[in-house]
Amino acid sequence: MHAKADTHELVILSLIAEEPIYGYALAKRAAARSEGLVTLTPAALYPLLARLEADKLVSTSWEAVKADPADEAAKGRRRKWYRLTAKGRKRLDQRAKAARLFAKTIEAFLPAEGA
Amino acid sequence: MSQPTPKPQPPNTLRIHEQGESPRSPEDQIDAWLDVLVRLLDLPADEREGLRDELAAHLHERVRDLTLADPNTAPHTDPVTRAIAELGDQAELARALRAAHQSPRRRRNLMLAGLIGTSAAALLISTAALVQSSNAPRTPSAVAVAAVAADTDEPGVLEMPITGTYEKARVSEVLRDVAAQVGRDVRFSRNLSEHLSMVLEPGGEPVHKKVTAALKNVPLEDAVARLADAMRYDEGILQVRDRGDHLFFGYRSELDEMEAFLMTHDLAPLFDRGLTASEVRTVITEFVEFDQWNVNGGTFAIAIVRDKALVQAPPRMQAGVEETIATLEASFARDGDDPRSRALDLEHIIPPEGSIVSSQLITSLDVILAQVAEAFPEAPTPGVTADYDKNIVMVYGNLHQRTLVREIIQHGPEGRATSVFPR
Repeated sequence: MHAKADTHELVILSLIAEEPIYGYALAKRAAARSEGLVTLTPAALYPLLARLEADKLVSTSWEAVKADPADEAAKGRRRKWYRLTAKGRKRLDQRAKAARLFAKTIEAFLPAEGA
Repeated sequence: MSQPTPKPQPPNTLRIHEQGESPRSPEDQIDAWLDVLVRLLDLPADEREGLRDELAAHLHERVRDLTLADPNTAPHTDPVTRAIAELGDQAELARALRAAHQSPRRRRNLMLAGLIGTSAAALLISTAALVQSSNAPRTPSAVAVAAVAADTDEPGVLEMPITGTYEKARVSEVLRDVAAQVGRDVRFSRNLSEHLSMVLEPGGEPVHKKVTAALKNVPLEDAVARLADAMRYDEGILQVRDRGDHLFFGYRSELDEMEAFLMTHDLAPLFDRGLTASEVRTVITEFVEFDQWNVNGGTFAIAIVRDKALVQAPPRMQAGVEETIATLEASFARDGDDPRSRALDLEHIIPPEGSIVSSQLITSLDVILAQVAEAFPEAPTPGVTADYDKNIVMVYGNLHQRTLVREIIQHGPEGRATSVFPR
């Protein structure tokens, strides 16, 4: 699997593991947590979420959007919430282990700062 | 007073409005964009609606955030236009979403293709050897498969060379040209026809799919595959059949349904070797195009009645069933062997704690295969593949082969013990 896709999967599973979340909030939280270094564009995020769901790594539910009663257009809108499954937890653990191993390996080759 | 010069629109955003038209509301703009996307999805209705609702929620929330953003720092772009532009090109997004929804099946297919591919090669050798040694007549069903294959493939036409250079040419016209080069008329299935000339808005002009490709003496079937590649289509989108006076183009799923037929396969030799109906059905529905069977959410069916398997499926799958039965038969055939040691089976091998089935393993799969083939030169070549998502290696072979692969996975191939699986 592509390294970037691996990273995105780790980021997404990790955030979903913290608490149920929906797509847009997930993208914002990833950007905020990484201080803008991780950008989950909608074109990357939603296909990946669809794949995680298809692979049963996350479960989903729908929630009607609470909107201003005066906002007619908002009626009937709904949000899709994602929760981590046991299978997803296992995958997250694997990804985290691999990421730590990778970081540890690279760390061994990095020159000291300012060297 | 002169009219302001309209700004050019980014290519992947909606045309908001032109002179003489009423500006559309943000709601309408988002709906129109989603309408087009949903038309491109080619997924079941409930999945399309789910994606539409999810993206609609995203767009509305994004528009709200952009609208509320500090006007001194926000780019001078209409929030709706910007939110839509962030979603990218509709066709690209639709393709990614389609692939994501199909990915478990497709990944599994790729894996099984690898397994079936290697075992099929072994099957050809072992079946040929069996036929030669026993001088046994071919089973009627096997003959039927060969006959069907001959009827549908007509390699003479589908292998004829095609030459052409196409620059943003309509796909339908390119396919007509391809057919004309082999002296055939052309017909399209309804779904493909709609896909190639899609009407995006009621009463609107059709948008024709276009392709850029250069072909030089490419066999017809490969030429069609290359055109599909050039359009970034999955292999199931564009398939061709020779129908005598015309070439028929369609989705593979449509062609499969049109070509499906009922066929019986003789299982008596397998039952004689101790296999059960349940085991046979499991092997077939796992290893012959997993996702196509109705038990796995597909269309085609298998029922085992007494010592026969009744299979309703297209010719390609019937041939796969026949090959699988023959593979099983061959793997249990030898006298004097312990049948359990020759039975082919699929085994999932989990690498040692802390090891990763990574892309580094890709190169070593060949090493593993070579080592196993060398150790058991008379046995059918095993299938070995890896599922990097699940962090497992899968091997399809007999007991001895599976044991050896397991040892290699645990300890690394000879001479490469520490380099293949990082710890």
